[in-house]
Amino acid sequence: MRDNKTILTIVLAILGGFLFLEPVADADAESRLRVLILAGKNNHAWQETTPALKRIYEASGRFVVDVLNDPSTCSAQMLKKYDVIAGNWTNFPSRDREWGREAEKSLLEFVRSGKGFVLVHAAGACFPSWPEYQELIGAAWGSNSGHGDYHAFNVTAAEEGHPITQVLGNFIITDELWHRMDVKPAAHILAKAYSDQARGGTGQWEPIAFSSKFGRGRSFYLVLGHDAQAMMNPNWKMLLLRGTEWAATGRAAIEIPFDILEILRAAAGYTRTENRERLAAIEQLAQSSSRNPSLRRQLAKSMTDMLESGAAVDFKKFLCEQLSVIGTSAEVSRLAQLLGDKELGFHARLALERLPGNDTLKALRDATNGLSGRLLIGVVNTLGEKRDKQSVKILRRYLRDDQDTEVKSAALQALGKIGGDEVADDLMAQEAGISADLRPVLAEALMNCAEGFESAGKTGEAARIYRKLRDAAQPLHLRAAALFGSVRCEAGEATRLLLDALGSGDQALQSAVVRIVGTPQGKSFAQGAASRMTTLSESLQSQLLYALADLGDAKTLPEINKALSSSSRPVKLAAIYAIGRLGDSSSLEQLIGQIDGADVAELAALRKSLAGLRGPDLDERLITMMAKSAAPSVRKEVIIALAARGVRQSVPALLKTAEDDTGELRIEALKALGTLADGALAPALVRMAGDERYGGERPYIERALAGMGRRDKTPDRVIDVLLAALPDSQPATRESLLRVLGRFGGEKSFHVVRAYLEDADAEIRNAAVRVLSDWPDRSPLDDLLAAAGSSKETVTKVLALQGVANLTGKAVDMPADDRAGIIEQALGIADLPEPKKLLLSVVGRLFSLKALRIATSCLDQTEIVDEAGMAAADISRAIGKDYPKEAQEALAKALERVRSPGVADKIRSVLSDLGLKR
Amino acid sequence: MRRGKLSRRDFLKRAALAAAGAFAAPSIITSKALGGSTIPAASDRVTLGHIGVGGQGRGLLNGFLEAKGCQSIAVCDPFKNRREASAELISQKYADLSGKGGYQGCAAHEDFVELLTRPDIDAVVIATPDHWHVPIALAAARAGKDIYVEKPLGISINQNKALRSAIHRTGNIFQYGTQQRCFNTHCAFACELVLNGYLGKIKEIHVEAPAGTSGGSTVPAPLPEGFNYDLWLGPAPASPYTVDRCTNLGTYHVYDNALGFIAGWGAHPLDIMHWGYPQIPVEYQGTGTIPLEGLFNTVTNWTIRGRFADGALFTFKDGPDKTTFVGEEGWIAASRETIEANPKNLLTAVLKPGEIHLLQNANHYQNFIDCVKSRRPPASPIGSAVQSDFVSHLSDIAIRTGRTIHWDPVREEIIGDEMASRLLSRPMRSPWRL
Repeated sequence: MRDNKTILTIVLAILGGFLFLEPVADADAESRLRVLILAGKNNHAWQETTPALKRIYEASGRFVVDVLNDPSTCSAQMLKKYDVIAGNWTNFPSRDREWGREAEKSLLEFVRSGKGFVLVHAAGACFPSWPEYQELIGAAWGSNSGHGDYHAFNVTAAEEGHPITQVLGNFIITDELWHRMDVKPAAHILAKAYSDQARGGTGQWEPIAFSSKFGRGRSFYLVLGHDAQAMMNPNWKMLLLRGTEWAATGRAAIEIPFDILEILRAAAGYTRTENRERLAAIEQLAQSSSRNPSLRRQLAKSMTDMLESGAAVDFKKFLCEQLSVIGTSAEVSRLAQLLGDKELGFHARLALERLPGNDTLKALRDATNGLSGRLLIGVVNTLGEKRDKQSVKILRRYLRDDQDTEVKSAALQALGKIGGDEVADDLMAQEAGISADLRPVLAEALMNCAEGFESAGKTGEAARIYRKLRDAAQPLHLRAAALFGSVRCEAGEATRLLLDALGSGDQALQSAVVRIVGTPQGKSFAQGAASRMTTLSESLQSQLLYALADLGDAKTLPEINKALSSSSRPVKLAAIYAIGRLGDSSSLEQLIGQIDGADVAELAALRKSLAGLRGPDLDERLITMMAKSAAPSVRKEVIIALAARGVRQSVPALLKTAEDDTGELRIEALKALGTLADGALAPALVRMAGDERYGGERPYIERALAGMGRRDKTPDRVIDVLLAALPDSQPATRESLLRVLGRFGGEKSFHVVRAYLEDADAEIRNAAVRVLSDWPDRSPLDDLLAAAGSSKETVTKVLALQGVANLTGKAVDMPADDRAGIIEQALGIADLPEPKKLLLSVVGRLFSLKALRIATSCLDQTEIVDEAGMAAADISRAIGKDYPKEAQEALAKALERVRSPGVADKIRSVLSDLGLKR
Repeated sequence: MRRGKLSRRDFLKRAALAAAGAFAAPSIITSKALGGSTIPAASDRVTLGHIGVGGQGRGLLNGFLEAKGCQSIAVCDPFKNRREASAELISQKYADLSGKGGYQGCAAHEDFVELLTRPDIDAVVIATPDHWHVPIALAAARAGKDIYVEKPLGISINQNKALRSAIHRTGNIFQYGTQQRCFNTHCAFACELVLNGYLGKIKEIHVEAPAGTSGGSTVPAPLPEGFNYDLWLGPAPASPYTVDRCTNLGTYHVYDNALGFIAGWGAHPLDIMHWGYPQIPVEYQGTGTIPLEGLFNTVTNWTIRGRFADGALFTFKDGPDKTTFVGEEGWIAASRETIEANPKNLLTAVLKPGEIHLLQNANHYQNFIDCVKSRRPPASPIGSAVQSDFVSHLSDIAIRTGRTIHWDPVREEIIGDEMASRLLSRPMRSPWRL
């Protein structure tokens, strides 16, 4: 038979869900704070948010709520019984003071007397002309304020340690975020949110909660909370509740804001075929507990309770996942009971594997007694993963011969991860009798032990194991790793060990030795290894050479030099590379000596090495080598090296070579000048351009001049030289000079080049057109159009139209219609199909109606009908959604006219993508 | 859930071996006999086993069939039709080359343990769903094989660390499948400019990767013929098979076996980021969308803001793939297909010989094979793979916790957030383990 107290407990528990652990007395109803919500008007959905607020307050068990839909009826007498007023009222965008003197006065007095005022969202967007209200609320929606989209954003509690935000960590909320509020200096900012510019915000952290003092009272303004949906966020609720409590009393003690069990029960039937909204709400709750131990404890407990209830399996699995993050030792024993469960065994273990603490380890250990097969193996794996030293005795049991191989294997691996003296002894003892299929597992476990010892500084113990693992019976790759371990742990033995391994003929071990040479531990052994290079296979020789290159010890150079004469190509290439990395001045001869007879790969390697070789006098020696009568193949490489090394002082010598030598050497010298020289050399090269002797190398002279111009801060110096040389130049030279001017562009050059459009010589005219066609900007467009229109020569006309197409195609900053207009003009001038096709291809990239019309009109010309159709298709695809009618007409006409089946297909696919009929 | 064809005992036994690694002779030295006079000498060929021959796996297979100095001799996949088709393709290719109609051919294995125990395989190419990447790579490393593994790396930060330790121990050659490092040479160029100081001090780095997908059927469906679903699941939690579970989308967007495109696509631009700027942010904060409907439940859209230790800013969000480095003296942006910069003349800069050069080879597969032979680190080694993958994980954790994540790059731990730190691991279904 139930007594009244018990009934009351149950009733209140159902209503409030508060953490009652003892029977509730009637007096408790009075200890709750009384809230008066002001509602009745708001430019937000107050009819939904007001009940939502009421529910939130009541569910916490801390508040009793009344709602007043007409704040103007406030009076001192009426407000007396309340502890805090919560404003959900606004008359925004009106600026009027609507409540009347009496109500205003009573509100202010209410707070001043030591009570609280809370505002939500738009409640801070009214009464701009009521100064006391503005002072009370501390911050307001002002004339500069705004907000972006409704979206998810990050919130942080700005003031660490303020009572209101004490149990709140960072969180995410989906809401409307205000920015640039008017904030009074006296207001405390409690939390901020990131206002993303991509979502219409400011790119700043904007305040979203304020507290202020007013007389002997307090206010709390929660700016977030645009609608009932946003108010469902548990962090929002916590802010509201604690802020309200604080406003009323000056303290914030609420830690558990609502009935956790209710939220869990609502999702208890979840199966994985359903929507996950209820799960997401629980997840949010779990994350909100990161700085709230009471909430976390209660939540974890309630979740574990549900694990033992009749809730759906999929939901229980979800709970285990949550518990794996928020669970504590309080949940351990109950989770452990599920380790043998057919359906939840894995998920229970998942939670326990992530749960730290000795209780967890003990529970897992204890559980091994009742488990077998896969479930047991799972727990063994987890104990290994958690490196539980106390498990050693238990795991040892599974090493017995009568044990299942799979379990034994798991135990071996787990023990290896745990490591330590006991384990090492056990494992070493296992060595002798281990079966073939478990040997690799054991070796792996021993390796883990050894590495564990090494990290702990117990090199002696580690060395003992490494010695065992170097044994011939062990897996090869582990033997090699063990060799490395021995080298690290037995420094005195290192050289002997490495020499033995090197001489062993076992390529895997030899490879390990080479690998060690490339590491800091290998330093002392590098020369010893290098001196034995020729005893190794070719593959190992080249590996060793690369390792020596990495090590960078110059003392190994003599051995590396010897390897240059190897008959094996990979070895040679490796030697060349190594010399480039750690060679010195003496290496220059070595490398040069390899040039003759080198194949493509060797030449490439030599070039790299010559380019990177370091030494005090190398550059000078290279310059000398270039001038002296060395073999042409050598001189060629020297020139290339000088350019790659950036040796500016070789420019005079290079110029001489360019002028005096012939063929390949001249070309290389010109290339090098293009890399190294600046505009000061322009006159010399322009002279060469005018000299018949260099007619064959004209392109290289042009490139060199272009390079020089780029090396100067601006190309003006070179341009001036070119312009000065133009008037008296021969036709062939003139073309070259014009082409180089074309590389630079610029106003000065433009005016000069365009003048040549009128030149008496047709070749020069065409050269001018070509150069203008490739101009770096679109200034020549008008001239090219004019030239196309006026020229009587087909070649000139075609060239000019190609130029128009090219430049218009590149003018992406010009409006599409303007570009289309130019193409239209050009199309009008063109009388051959080829230039028209080129122009149409540009049209196809212009996404405007005008361009579409141009393309469509070209459909009447049979020789370009396919190109016109293609252009129409491309343009329609881009603008068809905005201009379906025009696109449809254009494509229909195109479909009629085009001949190519491929183009027809494309047109059909565009029609279909746009949802248009044929 | 039906089991596959292996008996339970066999399965556990193989799993045990797989988890530990099996006896195998490593490297290219072992000579193998294979038929045909027009195939180059056996000792010069790196022998490959392909684990995972679905969509991506087939693409890699074809890529390696074209590479020089290697031969594919085994394939492995829980889908019978896929493994048989691939084995047939390979056998046919070599039969054509060797001119012998009766060429023995490429083996088709169902499970990878069998493949890894073969001493005649030098290296493996792993193109399985994400949750298998590290467990199989670990087993391969412990079997002494060299490894090419698809991106992203592990489905937890702890998985990545475990793999890195294993590779460092035995010096296996490891290539991460971020193929842009070779195939898209302008990416190397962009990173070279950053590394060699052409942009000056870096102030910001912005990374974008395509958004993920939502949807997918949750309705249980019968298993296709010849498909070992339990093996496919492996260490991932058991769940009913649906028609979308094991498709290309299913492998990317189900949280049980992947992180979603925040890692699956993000790996590429993040890898380029790390290549040019070898450190990762120490602070992560942001938001992301996780679908509440349908099978796919990884992050689809996201925006992360972060900070490097030196104060440089970091953003990572969904968008067309791109890595943008902003320095005091200009910026450069590389995507798979294009490169842009300001000032424009950065694009025509010519590196000096003494400066850092990154590009090893224009073919990511050939690069791997060459490095298996030379034992040199390839273009995309384990160290940077681990770091760039960390960024995906830390971003995902920031989204799922809603909190700012602080990362200690030296100890490789999350600082001051015990709950978030638990997300560094993903317990594995028995008998699988790290």
